[in-house]
Amino acid sequence: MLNLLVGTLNHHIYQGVENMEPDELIDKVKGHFGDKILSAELIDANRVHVEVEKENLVELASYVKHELGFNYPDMLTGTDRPDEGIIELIYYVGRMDAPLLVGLTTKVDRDNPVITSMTRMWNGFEWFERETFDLLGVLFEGHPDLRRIYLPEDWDGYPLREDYVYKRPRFRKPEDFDPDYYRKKF
Amino acid sequence: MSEKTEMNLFMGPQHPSMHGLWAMRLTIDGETVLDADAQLGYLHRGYEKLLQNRQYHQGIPIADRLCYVESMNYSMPYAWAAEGVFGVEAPEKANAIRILTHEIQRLASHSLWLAAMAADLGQLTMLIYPMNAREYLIKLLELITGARMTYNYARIGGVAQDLPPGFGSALEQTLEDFQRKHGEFLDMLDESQVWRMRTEGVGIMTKEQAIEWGVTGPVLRASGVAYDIRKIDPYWGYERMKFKVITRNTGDSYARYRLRLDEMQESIKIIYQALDWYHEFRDSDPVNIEKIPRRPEKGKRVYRRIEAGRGEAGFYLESDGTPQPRRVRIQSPTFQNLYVLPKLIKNQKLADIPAIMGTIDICVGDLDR
Repeated sequence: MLNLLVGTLNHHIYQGVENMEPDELIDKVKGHFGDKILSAELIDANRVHVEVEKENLVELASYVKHELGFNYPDMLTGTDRPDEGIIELIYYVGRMDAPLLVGLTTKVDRDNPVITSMTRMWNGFEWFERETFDLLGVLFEGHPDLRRIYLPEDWDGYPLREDYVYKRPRFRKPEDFDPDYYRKKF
Repeated sequence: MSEKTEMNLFMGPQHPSMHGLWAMRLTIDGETVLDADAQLGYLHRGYEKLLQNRQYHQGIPIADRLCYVESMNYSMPYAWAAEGVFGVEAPEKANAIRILTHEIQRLASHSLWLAAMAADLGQLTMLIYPMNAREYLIKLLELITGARMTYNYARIGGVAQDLPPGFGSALEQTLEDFQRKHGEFLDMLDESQVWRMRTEGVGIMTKEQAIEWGVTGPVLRASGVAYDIRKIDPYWGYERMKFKVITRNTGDSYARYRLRLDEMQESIKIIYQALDWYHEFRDSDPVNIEKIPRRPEKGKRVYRRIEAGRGEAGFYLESDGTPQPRRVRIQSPTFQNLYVLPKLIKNQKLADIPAIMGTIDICVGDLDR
């Protein structure tokens, strides 16, 4: 009985908080930024993508974090689009009291993939940005420690790019071995 | 000598308490850790690319192998995200089975975590007890799916097959047994002075830090944030389950350990409710595979997440209208939880590292992807 009561109470608390509806969020962001917002749409239940130019991303991030309360770094996705010549980045951020996740979307040039790091806004994106640098080659300006995270430091190329070709390490065949190698050497 | 003497120590990758293939480069001064740098990638297999190069349903056994400890909790969200791309929904019966297996898998995962962590801290008796309890839970999943660890049970649009006849009684018997064993765990660890001395007050993470660093799951809740995706962003019908979101306020290793043990009790409650819900659809089919279109809608993007045993596990899928996904992004809870470990062990004693690392609950399979 007690557990039931606590369960309903908990449920009540979650229902009671100021839950931001996706439409409300889109209206607020559009109202504040106007033409700077390239698109703002609901892609799935409780997932809103807001797209801006990369120059306006810091401004949007600051607004979303400080004015709308999205203080939780959730995930960073990068997608390579060679046909458009861009790499698309989506920073998902959330709030502790709402199911809503906002995807701050922006595009960087594929040949010059430089963008301001979001780690100053949300520290938790540090490893995500390292991973995106590692696998997609996006350079984050102002990142405290931008290194490869999964692959070795001397790895050639960025594996999640569409035109990446994996070069197999060259293994020596039997005919490559010189039977007189040691005789010549010593 | 008052002069500081620094030393570099490479911990891992085959150190027994590292829980898999990853390493840490420590800078230590005597017994105190000055700096730590995690070295990942020993198990990097390129899962995102693997999944992108296959058809959607071929990804299910691959997603299974993301984490060998709780594979059900990775293949299920993958199938669910693919459902979003295809625009289909699983029948309610499948959702009941999903919740059931999800929670059994969580119990099994937490049991294995407890065994590993207790062994790290020298409680070798407690290596055996939770392992034994886990074996019976794994047997339940084996009854359902036919496999012990990598199940290949999720399907786009449902689950592979119905629960076997007589499963309800086997489940009830196992859970009754597990309840008794759960009490034994608490007796063995919570009453132990040594255990409490080693875990209390080490690796403290405050509420603000936890949110700022973006940790998930039990690690987040142990710092006093009531953020459980099952409650806050309900999926598969969790809104009809009655359970409590456990939180603790101290944010130390003890809080993270105790929170997982308390969470097991809530999981058991959910399993009973899910079984009752399942019995409402006795004669229906657990998969609606006929309704799935051959190709997904072009340009459809979803990001769907669940509360796995370690935290938020999710999949971002994007379709380009072909039978293969355009982009798959895996959200793995360990990645974000391990990010904070070097910060937590800074200025702590070297011997406290297993006590802090154990409560992070590392699974390198999904860490390295």
